[in-house]
Amino acid sequence: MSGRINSAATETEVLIFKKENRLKEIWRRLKKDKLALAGLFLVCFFIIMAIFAELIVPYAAAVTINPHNRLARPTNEFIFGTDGFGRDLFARCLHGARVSLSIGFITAIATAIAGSIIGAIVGYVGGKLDDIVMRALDIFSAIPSILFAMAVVAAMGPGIFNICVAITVTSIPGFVRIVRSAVLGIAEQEYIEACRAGGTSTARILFRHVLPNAVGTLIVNTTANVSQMILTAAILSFLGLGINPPQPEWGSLVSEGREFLRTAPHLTLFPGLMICLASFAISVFGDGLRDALDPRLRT
Amino acid sequence: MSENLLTVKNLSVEYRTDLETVKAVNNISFTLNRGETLGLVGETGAGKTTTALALMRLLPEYTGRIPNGEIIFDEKNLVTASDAEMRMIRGGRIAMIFQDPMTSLNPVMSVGDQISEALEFHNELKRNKEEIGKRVDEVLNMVGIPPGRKYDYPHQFSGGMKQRVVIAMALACEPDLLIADEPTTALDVTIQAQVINMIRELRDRLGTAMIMITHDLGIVAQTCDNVAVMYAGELIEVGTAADIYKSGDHHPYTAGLFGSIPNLKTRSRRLTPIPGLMPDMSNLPPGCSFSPRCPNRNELCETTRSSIYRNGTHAVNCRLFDGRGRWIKEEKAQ
Amino acid sequence: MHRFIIRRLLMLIPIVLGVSLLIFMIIDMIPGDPGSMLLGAGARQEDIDMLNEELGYNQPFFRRYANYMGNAIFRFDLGRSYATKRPVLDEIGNRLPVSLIVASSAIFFSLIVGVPIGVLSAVKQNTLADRIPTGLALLLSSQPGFLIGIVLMLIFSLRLNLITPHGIANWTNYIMPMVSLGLPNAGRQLRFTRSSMLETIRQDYVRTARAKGATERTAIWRHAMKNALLPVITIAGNNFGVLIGGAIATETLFGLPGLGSFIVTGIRSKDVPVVTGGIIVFAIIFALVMLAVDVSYAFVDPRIRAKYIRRKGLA
Repeated sequence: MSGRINSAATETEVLIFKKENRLKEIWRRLKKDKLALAGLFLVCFFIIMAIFAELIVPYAAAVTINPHNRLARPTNEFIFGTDGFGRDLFARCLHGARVSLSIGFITAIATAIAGSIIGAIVGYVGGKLDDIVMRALDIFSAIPSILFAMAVVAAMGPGIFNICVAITVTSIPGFVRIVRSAVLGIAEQEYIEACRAGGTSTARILFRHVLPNAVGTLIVNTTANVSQMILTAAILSFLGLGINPPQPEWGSLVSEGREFLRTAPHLTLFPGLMICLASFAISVFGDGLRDALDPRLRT
Repeated sequence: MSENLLTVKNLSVEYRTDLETVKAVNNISFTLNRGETLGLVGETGAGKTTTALALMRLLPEYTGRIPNGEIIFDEKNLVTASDAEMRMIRGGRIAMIFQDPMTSLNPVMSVGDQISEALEFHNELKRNKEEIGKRVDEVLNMVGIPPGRKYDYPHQFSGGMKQRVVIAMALACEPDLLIADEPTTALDVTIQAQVINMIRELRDRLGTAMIMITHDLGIVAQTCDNVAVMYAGELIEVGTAADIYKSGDHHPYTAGLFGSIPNLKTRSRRLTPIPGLMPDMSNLPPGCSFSPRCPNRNELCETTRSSIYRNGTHAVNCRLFDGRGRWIKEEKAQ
Repeated sequence: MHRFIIRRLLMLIPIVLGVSLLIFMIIDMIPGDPGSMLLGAGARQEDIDMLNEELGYNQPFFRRYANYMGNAIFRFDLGRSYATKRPVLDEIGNRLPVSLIVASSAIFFSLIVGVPIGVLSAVKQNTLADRIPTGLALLLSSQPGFLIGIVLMLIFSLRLNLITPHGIANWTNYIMPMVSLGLPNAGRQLRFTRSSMLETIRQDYVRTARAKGATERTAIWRHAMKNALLPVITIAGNNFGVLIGGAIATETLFGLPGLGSFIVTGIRSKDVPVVTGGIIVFAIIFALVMLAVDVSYAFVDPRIRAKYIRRKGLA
């Protein structure tokens, strides 16, 4: 890094070089955290199972009703047993994973994108815009997010896409707040002042200098959000909003199983265990990731 | 009661993290007599504060440790003292004034309570509540704060006043040794002189021995009987104030330090700063740690450490003094 | 101090207006009309129209909203439920105590469990006494309350027959909701307390306390604790607010007639007064709780106290 950097190409190269180094450093720190690795492994396992669900057990098995084999205990053929309609619970959990996990990841990413853009602009531009947006957010946060999401789902009708929209809309305000305060903190730093003094454009400062420095915060919160979103989706479908039967989703599986809690508790416990494990694995990984991204935050 | 109050022998301090080991203090030795003041001088990161924290046994619990050395305080080795013994010594017999008065007072406790707490911890005189309250008034008066303000909270005081509170807290139990860690660095220049004068005056009145940690050679000249210059965790020069300020013989680093202070008497000479930076403490050079910046280095300096050369009270850790006049090479004790 | 509280209470007005307008709009977008929902699929169109007119549903959107808010503000009347015809305010009055008991017992539970263990974890950082509780806390805080509730129900109601799983017949009915909402919250509270505490015990003033000769216990409980408490109070207040209306799955699971399930019934039947009224009440309670949190700051932190009474002479 001696010598002057005078072309845009060199600057990009330097950035990429630094990025690679940083990723390596983060990975090196993450590797040391055995618990986080276990979480990552479990998350990947869940994702792979969800992606190849169709190859493991066809979707038909998850929805085919078989009145002759109702409420079967776990056997070799049906390792999680069968539900009140004689459907293979393992197949239902597996295909439910597709729904639950995709809702979790899609909404978390959508929230992150929308939240960062709004938060960054609001935080950096400040002034009247900031006031107006913050007051609007006050209104949103005065409504319990579950109720708000339910109202949105009710208004838009059931379906995975609508659930995603409802969850995203309700979680954007929280994300905006986080990004905004991160951006406010960074915008105060002297190197941003230096950029401004040097005549760098606002957009460039924002997307080249401010946001990259908030990336740690964004990733950490997005990871935490994935497990939060899975829970929210589970609560919504537990309450019978959102997923159209007979499509399986973890929350609705728990809700369906509740009817047979006394006689066949495994109907509730298996999908419950799925929610529990997936959400825990993501949280553990997210925690390790936070420590690896910023050792100063290590607690 | 012997004259000697504190003897530090071959003291080292390390900070260990899972990534690296930082050798913050390396084999330092010095002594301090009752009622005397030692100035510990050096630039930021030289290991001065670490030394002070080691004396108080207040190093960070999981990372800081003392791999070797002795701290003999009044015939007791503090390195091996139990926690309970250390608690009696801390605040009672050795007190410390910290660098930043803004953060060293508890924001949710009134200053009076914070001072009286020290008295409660070390209540050998079995004072009752009222007497402790009286003593708080007394020490506040001593540092020039009206006792009526003892019910106030730290945020209601200015920086200089806060440092006075810290000083009052440190002196409340009349310690034998006061460690002042850059007590004025965080203060305005005008306040600095007031606070230094007050510390000096109280030290004289109470007969407290003191270790004055600073990077300000002016403060050392005003307050200290003896001076120890620290560089990269080592003491590179030790002597009386006269040795340091009057004699012409110096370690090249000390000489450099004096070269970087403006002098009103010799006009218009340019300041000569020391080139370069202090070495990375987790990766010290094999030879003399000052050699990379030293204008007088030779090949030997870069590969092997120097012995200590002594001339009466004055000792220098630099081989340039080899065979020079009355300087005697000291055999390595380590 | 009074001026601060009054200002905060005045800030409630725009929030209530905003919340009610937003909810009014969303509920209005729910397909169908209350008349056909109440009378069912077999009803005649004339009856449906008549009922809608009776409910005032035929009027344009803003007229309805203005009427509703006018009544709410000037007559303190949140309207009547489309479904039960009973005043919404009475209905809320019956249900709010249930929600309050559930939320406050859950928060109390989570504070009692989470805060002391969180402090101990911070003090014993990186030992087993830290790792085990923080690991458990992470596990608990990533669980939905209803899942814990189901497990509790399975054990204590169905297997051991200790507690009836439904209703609010006696106080034991509140135990399982308290624990199932309290456990995930306790996990969160523990982790939060721990990280707040870790930050605080590294502060200079805690070192000062040790330098004075304080025992570890004094340094931590007297000097660090009070300072580490502020963020802990905020989180507890926030969680309390959320639980009052947001503990819907648990309310449903245990058949508790709380505020949350009331609003959910309203959403299902497009019962505009119920949903809007319920959420307004919730928003007000939430704001009051957060105000109480801010006021309680003043008792803990003299710097914040000073801000409220700045006019009283020069410090």
